[in-house]
Amino acid sequence: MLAHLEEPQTLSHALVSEESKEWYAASESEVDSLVRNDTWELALLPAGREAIGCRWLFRRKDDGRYKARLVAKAYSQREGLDYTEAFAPVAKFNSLRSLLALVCENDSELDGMDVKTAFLYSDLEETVYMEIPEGLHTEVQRNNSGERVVCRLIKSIYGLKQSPRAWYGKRNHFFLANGFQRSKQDHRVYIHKFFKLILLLYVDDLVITSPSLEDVAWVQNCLHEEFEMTNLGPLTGFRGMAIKRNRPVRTLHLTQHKYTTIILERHGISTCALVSTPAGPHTRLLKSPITHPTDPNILQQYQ
Amino acid sequence: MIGTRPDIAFAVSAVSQHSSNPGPALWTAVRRIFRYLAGTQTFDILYGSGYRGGYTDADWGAGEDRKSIGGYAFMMNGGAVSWASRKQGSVALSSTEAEYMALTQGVKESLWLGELLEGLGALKHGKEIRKVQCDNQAAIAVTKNPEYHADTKHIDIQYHFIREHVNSGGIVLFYCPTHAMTADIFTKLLPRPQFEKHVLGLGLGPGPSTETEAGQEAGGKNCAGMIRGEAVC
Repeated sequence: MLAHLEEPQTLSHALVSEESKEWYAASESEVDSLVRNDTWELALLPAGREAIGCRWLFRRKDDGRYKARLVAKAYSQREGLDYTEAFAPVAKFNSLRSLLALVCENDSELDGMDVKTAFLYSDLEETVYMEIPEGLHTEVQRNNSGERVVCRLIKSIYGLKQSPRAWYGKRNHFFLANGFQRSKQDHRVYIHKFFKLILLLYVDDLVITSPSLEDVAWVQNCLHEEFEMTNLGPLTGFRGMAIKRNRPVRTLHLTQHKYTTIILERHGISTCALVSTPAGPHTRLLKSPITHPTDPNILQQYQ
Repeated sequence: MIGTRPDIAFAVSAVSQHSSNPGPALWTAVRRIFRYLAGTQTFDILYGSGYRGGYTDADWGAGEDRKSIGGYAFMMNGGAVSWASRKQGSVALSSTEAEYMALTQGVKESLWLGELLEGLGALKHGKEIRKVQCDNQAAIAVTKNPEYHADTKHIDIQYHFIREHVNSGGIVLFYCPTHAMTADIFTKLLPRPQFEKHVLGLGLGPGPSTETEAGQEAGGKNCAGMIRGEAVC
């Protein structure tokens, strides 16, 4: 098993690691996707502008897949120049849980869909220049007169501050055009006017519920025409929560068992000396009179 | 753990208030939460059949700065869908005032959930989620009594807000005795029997083990002999 190995931090590390073949294939598939979607064009960097950085992210998925993703370094983006609006809503967990309670009561279908490289599909409004990614360095880093050659982004890319917003706008438009109404209470919940369909979106995850399998198939076909998506079949999890249904008796269990186990392992909590309440009834936490500095490394993990 | 564990909401909010200056006592408290989680890793929220509606509660003056702690939970088909445990923004002068402020938060959430559910086509559920239980008779009486004059403006406004919704029939308030008040779990540290009772009241319990399918509704009961998710009022 290689699961204990750290994931590589850079492309060059990935390509000399034990799993170089897998990482190479993964990054090639990402480059393919970027090129196929016309994500950028090569351009000269105008005077006064700076190119934002980018890096590779490598992830081993639970199901054994290897994923490479090119992300922009958003911290180098300057407001007003590289981005203007960045807010994008995500579905509230309250709405998800309410929806799940309804689904199990009505014994509705509950399907998941996942978008391949979600952000590549939205056009970028601002002009953003990005460095040529590691691994794609061409001979022409500078032209004859010494100006730098960079990527001018046409589509938004992971990591850009405005990417989630651009993606949100694009999908919102698509759903409204296909006869959905957006819930006033949660802007990531859509209800179809004629079909009995309810959708819930969380960035690149999509939950579809409907009493009818045909209606689910209809919306899946619509989506496949517009976006590159994968049908996940009956939903078994969402954002780290596991969903277990027992349809004959109409019950649904929602748990974070796995996540809890990971957190406990990370902090080295053994399963002896268990307690039955999260705090003793007379515990009182008072402000500490002395300052306790926090380890900056730990602080960074939670920011 | 915001997704599925309302049982630790109060403890987490209590330790979070000290996260900017964490001392050894805080770490002990955090470890205690972890030890609790370690014993309850398989806990899940079960939706099936059961209570629909809300609970709100407050613990007057419980904060170190004498602000009160308010909390609410909203249930759908026996499982919690929405909950909160928060220190109130201003100091309450009486327990009724603290309950009243908690009720305001609960009513706001109740209206939101009701509208969401109606938008999803669940009209019956939208109406039921607007039933809110409160364990303070005085706070309920105040919503019906036009004689009430609050001394301070923030209470005055909350008073008019709840009264408007109660009078129009949008929100229905019920009294619920303290021992059955599930939202008690969001306002104070409880001894084990009450804690376990309210955990069940939230629809939480050990999930089906991985070998058996979700079909075996394993262990819905605990020592209190309650079935989880059942209406306690």
